[in-house]
Amino acid sequence: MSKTAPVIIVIEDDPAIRKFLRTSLSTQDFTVFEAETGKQGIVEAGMRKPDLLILDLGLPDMDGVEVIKAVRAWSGIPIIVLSARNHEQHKIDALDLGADDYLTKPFGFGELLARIRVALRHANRTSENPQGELFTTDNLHIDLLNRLVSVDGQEVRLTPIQFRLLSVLVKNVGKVMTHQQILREVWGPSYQENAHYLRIYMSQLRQKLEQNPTQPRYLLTESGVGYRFKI
Amino acid sequence: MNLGAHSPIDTFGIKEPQPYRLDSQAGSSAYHGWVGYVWAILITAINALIGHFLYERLELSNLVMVFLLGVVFIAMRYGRGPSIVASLLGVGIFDLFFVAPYLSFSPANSQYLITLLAMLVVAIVISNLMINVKSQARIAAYRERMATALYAMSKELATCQTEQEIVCMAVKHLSHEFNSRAVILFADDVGCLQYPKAPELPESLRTVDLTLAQWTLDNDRLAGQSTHNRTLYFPLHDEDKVMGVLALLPMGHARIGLPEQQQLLETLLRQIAQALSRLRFAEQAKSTQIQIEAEQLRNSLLSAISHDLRTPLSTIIGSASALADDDSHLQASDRLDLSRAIVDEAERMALLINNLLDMARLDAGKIYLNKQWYPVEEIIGSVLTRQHKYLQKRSVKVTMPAGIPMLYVDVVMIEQVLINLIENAIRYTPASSALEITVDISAQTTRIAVADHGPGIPKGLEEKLFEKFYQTRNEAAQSGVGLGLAICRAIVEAHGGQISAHNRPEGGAAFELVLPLDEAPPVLAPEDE
Repeated sequence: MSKTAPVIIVIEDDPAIRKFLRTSLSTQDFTVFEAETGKQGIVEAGMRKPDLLILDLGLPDMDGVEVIKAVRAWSGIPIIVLSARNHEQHKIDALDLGADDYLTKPFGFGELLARIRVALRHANRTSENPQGELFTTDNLHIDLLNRLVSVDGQEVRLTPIQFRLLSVLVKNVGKVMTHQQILREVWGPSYQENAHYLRIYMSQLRQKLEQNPTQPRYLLTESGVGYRFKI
Repeated sequence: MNLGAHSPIDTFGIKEPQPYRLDSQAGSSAYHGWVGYVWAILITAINALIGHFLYERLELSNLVMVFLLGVVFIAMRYGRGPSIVASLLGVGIFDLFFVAPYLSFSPANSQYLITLLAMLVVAIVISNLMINVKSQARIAAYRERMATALYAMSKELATCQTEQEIVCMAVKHLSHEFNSRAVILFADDVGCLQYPKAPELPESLRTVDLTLAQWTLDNDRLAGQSTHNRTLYFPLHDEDKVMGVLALLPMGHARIGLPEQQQLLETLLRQIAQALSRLRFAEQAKSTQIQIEAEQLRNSLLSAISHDLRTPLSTIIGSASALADDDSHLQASDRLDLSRAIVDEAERMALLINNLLDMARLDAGKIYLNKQWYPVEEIIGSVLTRQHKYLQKRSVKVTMPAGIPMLYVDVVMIEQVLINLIENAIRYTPASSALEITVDISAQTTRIAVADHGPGIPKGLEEKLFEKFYQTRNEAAQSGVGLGLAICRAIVEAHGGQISAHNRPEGGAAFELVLPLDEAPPVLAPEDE
């Protein structure tokens, strides 16, 4: 089966970064289109039917989060945002509005590529297999359908909330989830202010699933932003 | 009933501190006046009695001397008027009772007019002399008093260290010397007078008219004392400019109008102004010194930054231009080396710039802490995940007892502290040596220590390490700007905690941050499995 090259639109006002992204992404068999402004980016996104958007949050004509809102109004395509350091709230806003991942400038190409692959895989999986059921690594086995979790062949007993939390993270494997998103999915909309609930349950999950909870392998913290389940 | 002159207020006025009047009429003042005349009559009468007893034994010319003595005494004691009265009375009595025909002014006795004249002349001359002596004494006493007042104030002013102290001292002395309420007003940066902020204005000085005071300041002239507001405004100036305005509200009798008092006031004002300008000069000198020090710090910052930014930049530009100009002479492995060098040096530069930006942000004093509850293990886990790439083969041993309470911190900042400590350990210790992170708690604090097995901290530098732009000059080690630990300290202190460094007895350095456990961490009820 012949696969067409995935289409990526880069919305970024700095020409040097656009050039770097275009050059390096083209070598990895992506078709890259560019937009200098938010408005142009929204038009391109509607026209080109891209597989993924790379969006700089600091655009000259409009806030990057406005672009996310506009795109999310009609499309669920993965969006990776680029942001400056020390702007945690900006990242959280972007993720809460539906961005899939973020990268802090300056970033390496390897990192970007990994994020793009995760985002594309996640988009494919949710469209092809919305259930998501089985995850296995060398020592961790998670069967969401049968509510079975085992570490090194040993079954691990989870509380209902721990299981719900794990399943939310596993369903979004590789993708960064903000505290708010996880709280909403696990506890419901009225628990938005109780991020420490989430942290306590994450800590409990790590105790049960990680070999070394202070050097986690699966349940990673995105400092100041949220969590990511990594396999 | 006439309340004007003898109202209780006047009676009270006598009990006030003694006024220093220089009154030329003092000798014949109303109070002394009638007493003097009574004494003149009394003494003349006594003289007449003495004359009566000595009449038989003395010659008339000698008897006159008794009366003359009385006149001299009266002139010395009570001044001109009473002594003239005593002369006239004396000659009259002498003529009537001691010279025949008795009890009549006989024309034959007109020779005693000469006696009268002589007595009058003696009376006037002596009383004038006495007046002069008395006024000299008064002037001397007044001058002494003025000198004492000046000395007392200048002595106290010399010990004043702040403008506030000078003002308090000056107000105290002025109030005492002139029996008034006083306040000194200073102009702000744009030359507008302001009410003093502390201490509060005394109640009676709430009537200070800023407009009038401002006029005094702008025109360098005395103002005030209208019918409804008796406050006076004096400009306070040093050699070239007006520094402020003294508002003086006289209490009771106004004593400020007298020229001598004004002279004293002017002298005191000059003293105050001098003390103030002395202080201002000293402050100026101090702020100049601070500026010089800031300049030196800036220079050391610039030289540190330019050195530490240029070094990686040289590698980047050199390697990148070699790649860009390559006319296919470079081997594949050379290209790889060059591009890796670019990545490494660029990352080092990014780190330096991040540190500089962090320090600038922390220095600006606007540290906004986004404090939330975090489990310590999550913080350490996140830091180790982020540093995974740089830790390479090093083992990191985390020792943490169970049941450590959550920390209420800005997690991004606290992670930055731990990252800086780990980066330092990586930079200054051998590549394969292990790191240890230890967490423990006491009743009020959580302690997190990052320890290494490196060469340790040079003796005596444990504190200096946390200073801005301080670096141990270790040529072998990759240098930083010397900001990492200064950032750590700023962050930890913003959290109300402390950070310190020491060498461990078993070798290697340990950096320890102690954070207060000032609020009870939230606890969740356990859930059924």
